[in-house]
Amino acid sequence: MKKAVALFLAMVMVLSLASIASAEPSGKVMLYSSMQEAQLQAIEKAFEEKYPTVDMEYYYAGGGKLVTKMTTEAQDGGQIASDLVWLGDPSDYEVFKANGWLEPYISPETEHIAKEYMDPEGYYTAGRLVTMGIAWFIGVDEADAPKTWNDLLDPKWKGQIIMTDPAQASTTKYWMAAMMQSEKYGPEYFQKLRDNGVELESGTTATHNRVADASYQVGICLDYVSANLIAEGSPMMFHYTTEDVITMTSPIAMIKGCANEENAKLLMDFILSKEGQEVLVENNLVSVRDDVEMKVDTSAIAAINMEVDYTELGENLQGYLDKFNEIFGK
Amino acid sequence: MKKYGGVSAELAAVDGRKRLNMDKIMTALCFVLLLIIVVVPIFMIIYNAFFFEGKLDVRMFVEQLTEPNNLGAMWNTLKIAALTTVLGTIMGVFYAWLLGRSDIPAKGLMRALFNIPYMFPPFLGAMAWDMMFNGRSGYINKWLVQVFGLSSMPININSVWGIVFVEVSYYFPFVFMQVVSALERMDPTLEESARIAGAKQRQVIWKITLPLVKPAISAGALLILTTSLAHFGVPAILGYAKRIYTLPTRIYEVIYNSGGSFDGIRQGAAISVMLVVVVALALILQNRILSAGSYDIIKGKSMRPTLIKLRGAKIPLLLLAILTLVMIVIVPLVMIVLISFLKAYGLPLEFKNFTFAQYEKVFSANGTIASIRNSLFVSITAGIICMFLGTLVAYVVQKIKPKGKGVLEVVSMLPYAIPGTVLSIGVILAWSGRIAGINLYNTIWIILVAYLARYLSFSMKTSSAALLQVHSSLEEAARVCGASHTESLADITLPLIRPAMVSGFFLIFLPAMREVTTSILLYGPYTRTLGVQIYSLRDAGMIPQAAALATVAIGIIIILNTLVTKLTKDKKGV
Repeated sequence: MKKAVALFLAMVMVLSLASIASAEPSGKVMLYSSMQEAQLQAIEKAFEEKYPTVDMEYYYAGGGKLVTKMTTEAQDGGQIASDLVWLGDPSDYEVFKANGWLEPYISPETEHIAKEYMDPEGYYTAGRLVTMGIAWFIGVDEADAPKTWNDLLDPKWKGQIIMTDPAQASTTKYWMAAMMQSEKYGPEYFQKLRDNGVELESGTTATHNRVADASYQVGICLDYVSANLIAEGSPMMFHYTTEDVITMTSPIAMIKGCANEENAKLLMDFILSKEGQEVLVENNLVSVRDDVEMKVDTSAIAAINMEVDYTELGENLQGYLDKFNEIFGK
Repeated sequence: MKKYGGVSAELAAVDGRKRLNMDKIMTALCFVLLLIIVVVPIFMIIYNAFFFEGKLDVRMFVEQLTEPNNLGAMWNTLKIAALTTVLGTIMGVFYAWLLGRSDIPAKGLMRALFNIPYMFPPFLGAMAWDMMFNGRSGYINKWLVQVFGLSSMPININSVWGIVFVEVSYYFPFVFMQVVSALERMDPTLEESARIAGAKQRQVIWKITLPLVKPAISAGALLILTTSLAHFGVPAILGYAKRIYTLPTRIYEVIYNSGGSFDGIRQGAAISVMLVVVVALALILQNRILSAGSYDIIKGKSMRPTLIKLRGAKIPLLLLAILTLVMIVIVPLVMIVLISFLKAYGLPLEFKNFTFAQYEKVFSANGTIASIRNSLFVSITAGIICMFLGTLVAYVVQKIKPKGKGVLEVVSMLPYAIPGTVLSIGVILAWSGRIAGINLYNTIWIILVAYLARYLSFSMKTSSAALLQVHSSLEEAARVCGASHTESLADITLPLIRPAMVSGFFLIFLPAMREVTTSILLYGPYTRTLGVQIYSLRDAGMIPQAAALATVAIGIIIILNTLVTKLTKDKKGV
């Protein structure tokens, strides 16, 4: 008798699960993102092809602006008007988590994603990889282009290097903090950079364009922004450093109390799936999955990745920024 | 103008309570509308700058006030704004006089061209200048070095003077547009009588014409000052690499630095309060200067002003005007159009690198058409509402003069001194359901409300300057002839200041069409604006595509402007 009841209950559960699973998803899902628009459009198209009954919406703005928007929305206990958020800099997410803005969700797709790319409690998961490297104007011979961070200190580049102001762009902020944190580089490295006449630009893209228009010979640049510009025909080149590569995980997370939780999971699963990541790769981004084919050899890069202590970074970020500003006389 | 008080009082007595009511209604309406549109969002900002968790906390404000970086930025901001205002005003007045009062040829065309810089998205304009005169890589710099065998780049636009120069070329139209319409409304007999009395041409200009258009000049100068104080784009693009910071660039840095804590926003709000104080001081100063005289100059006997014959100076002045036009209008405009045809930014401007692909991409992108439609809707609506509201406020301030008129004037000017991002934070805090359950968030209306606050000062200043020129004897004459107050307003005052109202509309419509900093935080999934669309392209590094969309935007503005001018048979468009 007990067996029969158990069997019956199990059947009911399976059936009801099946009926939930087969229920057509519908409604909307909203994504806040600082990714480039062309990439967001590509994801929207692919997602809506797979789930024609779900209407995906995205809100695009630069990272700083989006965080400002979210902070304003959440002020006085307000609800952030999005279901998912996908920005460039992982250290922002530690703040979001501490603010109680995020809802943990571990997607089944994370099977193919390395554990270091995820928050252990599942508050956020890397959605793509962004790596800082070195770009140069095509007038410079590829063999001469700096290959390591220390090459940038060579006097032959004096006054010829541009970087983004870390106070303005979270990706550069992360890179700067990681360099400050490392014993090998530290604040002394930035003092030497400053002495070698490195100048600052107000935004990531502006930095890249400064290299493209030959205002500066060399720039500290992002891989995917460079790749996109080069694909358009910009007169510049890019490579990763041959040591101490600094990669950011660009996490994606679900908003606590969001209006469309089921669809949010659906979209997050899709972005992390092989299919979704392939869409990113087509758009010059680097996938976080181990089973997606890419032009870039991620395992080779991962092998020379610099160790970063996230917790320490999150705690001392402001201190590093102040130090940087002091060195650069801001 | 106190001496006319007696007549007004008598008229009021004729009307009995009616006139009083009408004035009272208009005054009350002003206060209520300004309270909703301006005071509530600004209050939210100030409250957050000074109150922390419900308690007064000035520590943070004092910290920001004494921070050396902020003081340095403050000094740069004041320096740039002062230089821009002085030079822009001189230039605006000079060309307004030349095109409005002299017999220089091709006036209509030149007048239209002089307003073009005002339609550029500032970042693109600054970028065009940067491409030409960048101290490291400017095209024209390189050419000059080559042709004249110089040892270094002759001009460096990445300097305080460079920033001032570019801002002047954007903002002189404020004064130019105001003064041109003031000159058209001016009673020419005043100049003629001076001439008959034996005054020389120069004396007529200095002693008669200039003082008479002083309200218009000062209104325009004040707009240049406020705009330059709060401006972000040009110093960010030209000054950043050379570490020339201004208060707005500091504010953005502080806010975007916050990474999810409200402290950054509070600090940004605190620095904005510093800016607002500077603007309020400028306003008080301007009121002092202006109260020195009376400026009613339209006295009912108006006729077409006689044009001043330039004689021998005609050709040199024409050449000067053409040179200015080429330098500050044609060259940057051509530069933007050329960039829009480039395959990729940074390639040399050679024919083999040109393509139409950017325009194809712009029109095939999602949202381009919707963003144009949204921007047209908000800009035109904001322009029209502000045109009437600004005139209403100006009328109340200048003619009814209720208690607290100074407050009205200052309140309507303040929002423009607040950087776009901070204003939109105030608007979000005010209108996303926290007050009386009104939730406009993610709708087009929240952008409209923000634009009304941001641009009200433009139409208020323009109408104010025009009203100062309308002598109250005109309205009184109508009233003596039996017209009601409403009739005298509708038949006398409004038609007389109509040109100024129309130019007020354009002062708002043109920049609103490509506005970014306010709408970027306010747009929702279906309410993206043209400025946001251009911004996101630029942010993604697609400068040529951004230039293509900006070219389309400038084209739309020019077409619409021509249409409006034709339809209203009013030459007060651009």
